[in-house]
Amino acid sequence: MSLLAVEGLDVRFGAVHAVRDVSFSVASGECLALVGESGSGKSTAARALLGLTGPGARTTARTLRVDGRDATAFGAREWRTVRGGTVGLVSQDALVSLDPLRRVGAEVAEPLRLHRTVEPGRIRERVVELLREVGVPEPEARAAQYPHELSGGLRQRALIASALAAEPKLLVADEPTTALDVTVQAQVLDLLARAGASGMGLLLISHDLGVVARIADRTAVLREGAVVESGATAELLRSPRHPFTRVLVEASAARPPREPSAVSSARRLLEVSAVSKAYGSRTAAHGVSFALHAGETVGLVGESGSGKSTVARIAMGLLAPDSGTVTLAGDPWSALPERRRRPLRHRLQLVHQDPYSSLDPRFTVARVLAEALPGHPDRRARTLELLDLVGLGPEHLGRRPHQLSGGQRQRVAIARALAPAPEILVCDEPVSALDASVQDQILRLLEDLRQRLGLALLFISHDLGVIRRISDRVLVMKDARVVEEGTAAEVLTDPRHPYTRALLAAVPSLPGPVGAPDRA
Amino acid sequence: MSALAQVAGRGARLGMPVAPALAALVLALWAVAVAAPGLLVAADPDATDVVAALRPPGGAHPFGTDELGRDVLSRVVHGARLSLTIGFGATALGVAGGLLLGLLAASGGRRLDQLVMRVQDVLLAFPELLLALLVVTVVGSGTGNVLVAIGVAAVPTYARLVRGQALTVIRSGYVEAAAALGVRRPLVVVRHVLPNVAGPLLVLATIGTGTTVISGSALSFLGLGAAPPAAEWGAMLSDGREFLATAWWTATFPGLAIVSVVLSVTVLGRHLQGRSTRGEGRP
Repeated sequence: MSLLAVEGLDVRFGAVHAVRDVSFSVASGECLALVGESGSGKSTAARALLGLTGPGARTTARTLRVDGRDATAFGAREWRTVRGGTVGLVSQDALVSLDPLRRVGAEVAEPLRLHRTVEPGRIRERVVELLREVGVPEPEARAAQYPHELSGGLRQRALIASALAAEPKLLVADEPTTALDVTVQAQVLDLLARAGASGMGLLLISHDLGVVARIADRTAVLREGAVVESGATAELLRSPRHPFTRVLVEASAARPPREPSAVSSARRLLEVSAVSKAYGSRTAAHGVSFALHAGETVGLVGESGSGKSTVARIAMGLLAPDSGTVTLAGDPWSALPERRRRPLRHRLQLVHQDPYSSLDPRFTVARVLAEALPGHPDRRARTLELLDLVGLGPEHLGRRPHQLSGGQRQRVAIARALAPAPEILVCDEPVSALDASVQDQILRLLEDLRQRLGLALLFISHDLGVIRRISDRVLVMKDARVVEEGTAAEVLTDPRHPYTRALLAAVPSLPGPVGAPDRA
Repeated sequence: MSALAQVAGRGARLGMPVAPALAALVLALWAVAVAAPGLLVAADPDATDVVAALRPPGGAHPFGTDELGRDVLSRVVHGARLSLTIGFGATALGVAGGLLLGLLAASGGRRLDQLVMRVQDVLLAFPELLLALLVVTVVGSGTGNVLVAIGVAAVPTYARLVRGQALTVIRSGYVEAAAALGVRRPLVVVRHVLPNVAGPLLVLATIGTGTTVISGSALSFLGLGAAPPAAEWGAMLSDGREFLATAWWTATFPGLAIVSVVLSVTVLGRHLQGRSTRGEGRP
């Protein structure tokens, strides 16, 4: 019998039709994935199953059966009996989903009290047991701590423990691993898969096909609020029928490491030697050394907090190292006073992670680029040329950031970085805030620009798939140190350091490069 | 009244609700009173007429006369110049000081930030009026000094807001991108930080103006502001208070003038605040 049966689900927010005629079902022990890009309506659809679409929404469905009960006519009281008890919810960001003023143990105990699944005297015991089951080390000690004292991975596990506490028949997990590092993500996915094996139904919401491939039995692809394709996950990923599914699959397909680009010369543009930086007692970089040659792409990969961004800022001369030096084309760079560095700044430029904060909200595209072209003799022609380089047109000149999509903003940020005609582009997680299909476009653009303009790229990412695609050489950082360095082929197919191996094993990837053409 | 309603109605059609439109109209009237009081009233505000002392409102004196037979309406209208100069001038001074200190604290490094903000914290611990009294005690009374005193007392509030807003902007990607392009720090502050701080600051200043108008009147009421013959709302309140039982109009009309300004400014400020938090205030 199916735990959950949805037919003809519609959700509207005023004039916005967020979910259109969506139908699916989940049986016990089964995992269904709802896949789509941001704004596709997948989270809204999931929230409708818990009656949580909010006061502004109008939700209708022909059929909405939760554990055999007709939920279309549920009032607030009936929904409360379902939430936590029959259906559990795990949301994306555990830091905001856990009450900062309550201990982790109290959070996990709450559903036990509400749904009276264990006797009051056994609650403490059960909380510790639950935390242990989800893989929290030293559960007794952790239960007494506050959320901010736990790492992101532990918080997410605590959240899952609290969702599992009342032994729900169905778990709705909305991007449960998106905020996590890959190694932690792998553990959390295993945990969810185990819960499924014990008979629980799982509705997984994700933008990441790698994650979906790892645990979902069936997958439904959402686009603009409607299901465009659904079926068994393996089948759907192997031979996607709908063009949009094909785009998604192509964008996230694992690719072999690229052919090393023909490095025009062995000319060392940027040399970072034994650079260290500490913030108080925390070491952000320790003895980091590498060189960037003209025309090549060096990928710097590591998990959050490994020190990648610190290294990028030191290389940019935006942050002074505590020790060690950076030289630019053989001349001092990090040692220069800012007054002497300023005239040379055009030689290396930065592309930021977050296209939402990297553009001044008050500036039009024309002004953003004008700032990067001070005193240029033919500013308008150069501006149009730059826009053309990044695939935008004159119609974008008058727009402000909020009138642009995430991908367009990142294109503007890249155009700004290209304006002073740099030799080096430092990209700090330039695609991590973007949807997979947009990621794909931006990576193509960067690769194309590298070839056309002969740029050298220092490319920073936590995502091995992205690094694999774009890098000639790869540096792996962990705990402020570079633990492995080599050509992309060496590091990514035959890693020597145990950490690199763990990182590679943890990456959720699709079964193989499936019907996808090779790197364009 | 119908003209008022008409203007308010037009404001509403332009997407402005009635209350803020009315508030803007009231402030516009007061602006005329400040710039050209002669346009609104003919009588000399300082002309005494002991025969016509303490006349109730009506006839030649719509707001009545005071104990020296001076026309209360005329004094209220002419008093706007002094009262509002102190109120708006002090706010401008407070905003300027707050902007300077706030930007300095946000962009001048840790030590300077600590120094500036701890001093502001100490000043914030005192009520603004008390602080203004303290400054007047030191620099002496008089209109100009009262303006400075109230302005200085308002600085910490604005400094705190500016520092907080400026820090978010300074840590943003676009400021880092500007640094990477080699744009000088002072230019970054003028080009990126200042415009992005201006919106919330303007809103707070509008609301704050209500407070400074009251503070100015309060100091004049205490005899520390405008010197006696000059028409000023706080001073008029102070004079009129002795006749409250027999001639209520001498104190009531200057009081209503203060209320109308403070209310209008606050309504308008709240409206602007609502717009900026809804994101409509963005050009």
